[in-house]
Amino acid sequence: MDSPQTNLMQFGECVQDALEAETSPNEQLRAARTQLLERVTTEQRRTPKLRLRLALFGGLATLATAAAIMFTWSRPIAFETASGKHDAGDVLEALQHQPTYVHFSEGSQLLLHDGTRARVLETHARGARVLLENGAADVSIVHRSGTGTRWRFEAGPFQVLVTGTQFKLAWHAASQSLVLSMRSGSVELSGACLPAPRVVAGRETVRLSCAKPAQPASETRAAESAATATSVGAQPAYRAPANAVRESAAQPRSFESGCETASKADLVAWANRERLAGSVVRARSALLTLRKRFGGSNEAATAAFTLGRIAYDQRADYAEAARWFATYLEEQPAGPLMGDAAGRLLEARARLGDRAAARRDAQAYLRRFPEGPYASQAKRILSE
Amino acid sequence: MVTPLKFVGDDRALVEALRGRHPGAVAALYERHAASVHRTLRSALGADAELPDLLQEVFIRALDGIAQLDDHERLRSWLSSIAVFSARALIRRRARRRWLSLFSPQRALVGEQAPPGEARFALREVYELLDRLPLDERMAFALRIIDGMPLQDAADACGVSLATFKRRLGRAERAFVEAAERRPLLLPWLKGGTRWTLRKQI
Repeated sequence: MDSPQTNLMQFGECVQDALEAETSPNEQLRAARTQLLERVTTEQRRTPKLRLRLALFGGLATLATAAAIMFTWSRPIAFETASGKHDAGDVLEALQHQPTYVHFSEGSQLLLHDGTRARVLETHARGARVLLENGAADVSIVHRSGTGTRWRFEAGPFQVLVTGTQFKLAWHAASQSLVLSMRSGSVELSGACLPAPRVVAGRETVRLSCAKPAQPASETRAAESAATATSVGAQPAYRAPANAVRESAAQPRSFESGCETASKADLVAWANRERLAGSVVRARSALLTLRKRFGGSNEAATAAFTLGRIAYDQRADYAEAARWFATYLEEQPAGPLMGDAAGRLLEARARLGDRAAARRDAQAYLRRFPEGPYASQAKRILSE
Repeated sequence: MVTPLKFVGDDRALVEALRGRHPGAVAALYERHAASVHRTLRSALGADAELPDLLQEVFIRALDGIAQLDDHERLRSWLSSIAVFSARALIRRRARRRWLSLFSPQRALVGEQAPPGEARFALREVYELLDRLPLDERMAFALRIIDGMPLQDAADACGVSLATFKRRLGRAERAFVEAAERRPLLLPWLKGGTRWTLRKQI
């Protein structure tokens, strides 16, 4: 058995080996040699005139530095994983037994655990907005002095506002439950089913679920009827109940009838709100009504994509998910969600076990997006 | 391209030749010691894009100060101490720049075009953790654990007694291990087949 000292020195050797592979030392040594010899050969003492020029140059450099600071402060941060750089909206997924690190250019990082799926929805100079679709992530946010820090994590109906801190966030989409474990600093947690934002700090762990335990059917109906009766009546928009509940099979007629008369924009807003609150039946109802009443519109196509997401993520109905993603691609072959739809289609077909269709989808995906976020999955399907 | 005259001789002759501005002496100094200086700088800073410039700077400083070298047998350790000094100066400069947020806290890694891999991220994590250590402790860890220098040579390069160096190294190891154990990416390197523990100072 190795001694502890051997272990520590072995660690150093591993680092040294990685450095050797990373730095091309021979190339660096050659480059530095040439520069050194040229510099030594041509070195001349600096004259007073030259010093004056250097002072002027220094002044200009200071101005340039100030401009660079302004530029850096206003530039959105970038992020990458082991597979390379990514753009906002890309799917970031940690495969089984293969955690994925997401590194941000200002030093913050996420560690996505096995099977976790997330997206960085947007980035800006002071942080980013990250959607945790399902799974768990270790989060380490670097506080940037001078610029302030603004990070926001979304998980189902919950939002976590961060300044500079470390925590673990887990979201289980199927059970609509959230676990937030603080390691240092503090965050502000809010959500559709929380009466008010709540500060979580120290080493506190919070477990929350917007899903309520099942109630007697009559009680549920009464509660929902009451909630929707007031909100649908109050135009312009239906509002989700403060405590979003797991829906029962029987939905109140008022929501359905509200959908029949609501505007396109309202239907989109209602569907999103209900989906995030975990009310899958209502979200589907709003989306299906949207497609029925406003068929052919961009919103109707997007509704098809969202229906696919609901089927895949919240109902594990991969056949229906595949149908909706294919519908989106038919209706919007060059639409903004086309890449995601194509990727999720091949994913759904792979889950269904439809290998022939999944291979076709994978080939089509790789032709269009050889470096896309689903490229590794597509290659894996083709190699099986 | 400069092709200097070839210099032949031992370190004593080399030091004399450098003082006498022999045209081939600089190339000879570089060829004998550049690889070791490069390794020391790299251990202290990681895979850093500024390594070639810093390597050059170490030799320029050495040439400027060659008159002060009193013992030619110390040439190698003297160069190591200049390398340590230069690396520390760069780390301090960066800390000031970081304060201004001019540069990202992420170091400029060599080979940005190369396909990134887990080892690259693990390396980055190692140096992120070293960035958090006090500078004296960071250098002790880098020279002893990563560079693999003997304790006395590392103490000489840092310009401190062996006892002081050991104290710094002990603190660095404890802090580093405590932080590294929370980094899953470093576990394969940390666990060399047995449970990861601090080594004893011998």
